[in-house]
Amino acid sequence: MLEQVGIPDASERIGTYPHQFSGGMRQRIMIAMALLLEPKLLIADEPTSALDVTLEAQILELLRRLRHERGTAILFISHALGVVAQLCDRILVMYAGSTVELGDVLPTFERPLHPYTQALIAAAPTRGRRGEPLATIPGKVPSLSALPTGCKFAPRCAHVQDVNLEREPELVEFDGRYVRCNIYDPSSGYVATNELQSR
Amino acid sequence: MSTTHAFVSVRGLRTRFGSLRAVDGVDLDIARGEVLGLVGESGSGKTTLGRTILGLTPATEGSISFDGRDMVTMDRAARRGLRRKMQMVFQDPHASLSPRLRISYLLTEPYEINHVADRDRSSVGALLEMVELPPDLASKYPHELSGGQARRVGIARALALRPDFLVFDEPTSGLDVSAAAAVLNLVKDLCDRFQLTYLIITHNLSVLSFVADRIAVMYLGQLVEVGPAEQVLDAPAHPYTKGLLSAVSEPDPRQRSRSHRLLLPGEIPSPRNPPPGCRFHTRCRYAQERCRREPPIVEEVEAGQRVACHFWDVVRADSRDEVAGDQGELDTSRPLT
Repeated sequence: MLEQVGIPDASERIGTYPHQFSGGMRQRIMIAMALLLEPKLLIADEPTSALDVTLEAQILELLRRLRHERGTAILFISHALGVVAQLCDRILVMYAGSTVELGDVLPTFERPLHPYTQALIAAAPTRGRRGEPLATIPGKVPSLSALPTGCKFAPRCAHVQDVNLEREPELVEFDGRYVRCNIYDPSSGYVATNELQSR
Repeated sequence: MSTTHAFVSVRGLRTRFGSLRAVDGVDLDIARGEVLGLVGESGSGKTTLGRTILGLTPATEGSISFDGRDMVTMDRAARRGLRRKMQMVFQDPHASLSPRLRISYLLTEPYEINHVADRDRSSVGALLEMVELPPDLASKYPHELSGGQARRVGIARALALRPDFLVFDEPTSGLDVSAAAAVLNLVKDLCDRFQLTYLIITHNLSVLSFVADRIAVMYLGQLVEVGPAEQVLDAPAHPYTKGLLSAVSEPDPRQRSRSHRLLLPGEIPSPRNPPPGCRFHTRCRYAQERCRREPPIVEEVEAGQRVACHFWDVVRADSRDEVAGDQGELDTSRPLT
C-alpha cells in the first residue's frame, strides 16, 4: 500500500515513526491509511493546504491515479480554486451552510452563475491576469448562529436587490447546473452584470 | 539596474547552522522601489536568506549593503539605526503577535523598543487605517482577529517605524481566497503609496505573478534563476523554475494539460549533504552526465535574466514552445465530466 502511494523503499520504512517523514510523505501515508479498506468514496479535507506547490501537484497526481486505477470516488474539500479546477469533475460551492452553486467544473469556472462563485474566481491570482487588482468580497462569512434573513449572501453581494433581503432563494436547475439566487434569470443567461470578473 | 547602485546588495552570502548550509553563496541586488519575489520549496533556504539580509540571522560569510552602506562591518549603533529602516512581516501572525498584548500595545511596541520620539510616531489609529482596519480593533487581542486581520496587524507593526525596505514571508499562507486577495492588494498599494522596496518570500508563484517586478528562484541555498517577472514566468530557462510553474494549480480547468507536462519529482534533498555537480540534477529531466560532475556557472541569458544551468538554452526553447502551444489548447484526453 505504501508503494502505491509513492513512498520510496516502503518495506524498509515500515518501522519508522511519522516525525521521520516529510510533510508530503506523511500526507501520502494518510491517504494510504484511508485506502486500506478499499473504499468506494474517499473524502479528502484540504489534503494539500499545508504543502508546497510541488508536493501539492504530486498529491493531486496520486489522487488522479487512484481514481483511474481503482474507480474511487473523491469528495475533495478545499478553498483552493486552482486545485479544484485541476482535479475535479464537478464543483459544489457552499456559503453559510447551504449550496449556492453546483455544476461541472469547466462551465462553472468559465461562466459562474452565482455572485459568490463569480467573486471567488475573480479573487484568485492567475498568470493570465498579471498585475490587475484582485477582486475581493467585502465583509465576512456570517456566524452560523446569526444568519441573515433572505439570501444569506445578500449583505456581501455586488448584485443585491431588495427581494434578496426578504426571500430565501431556492436551488434551481438550469441546463444541468444548479444555482441558488433570487435574481438569476435563465432567459437572459445569468446575473445581469458581470463586473465582478475583472477579466 | 547595475548602472545605478542597488538599494539592497548581497554578495557571496553564506549562512550556516553547523554543517547545514542554508544559504550557500548568494549574489543579489534589489533596486529602490522594486518588488523582488523570492521563490522556492520549503528547505530551499529562502526564509533564511530573508532573515540574513535583515540581520535577524547572522551571516557566516559575504557582504550585505543597504543604500550603499555595508551592514556586516558597520558598528552596532549604526546598524541599529539602519535596522529600523528594514522590517520583516512574519509568516504566521498568530505566532508572531504575543497573545496577551492588546493590538494598541503591539503597534506601539516598536517605538518603545527603539526609543522613538513622540513626534516621529504614527498614532495607533493611523497605523490601523494604513492597513484598512477599523480603529476599534486597537483594544482587541490577537486571538479575537481573523487570519486576514492578524496579517494586517503584522504589516502595520512593520510599517510603524516607517521603513524603506520590507521582507514579507509567505504573506498569504493560511488565508482563504478572498482574504488573500485583499492582503495582496493592500501589500501592493502600500508599496506604491510609501515608495517601499519589497522582498516577498513565497512558494506560490501565482502570488508573485500578481505583485513582483522581478523573481529570484532558490534551490538548496543558491539562486538558480533571477530575472524580470514576465521573462521568468513566460520563458523560464531553469528546469527548476519550469517545475515550480508546472506545479501551480491555475484556477482554469482549460489548463489541466499543463500540470501533467512536467511534474517535479521527489523532494528537495537535505542541505546538509547537497548533491555534487548541479544540485538540482537528481530531480531534473534535462540532466546529463556533465550535470552530475560540474556545477553550472551563472550566465546572463537575456538582459537582466541570469540562470545557473548547463542546458538553459534547451530549457528556454522548450518553455517558449509550450507557451506557443498553449494558445486555446484543451487536453481532451482527460475527461472533464
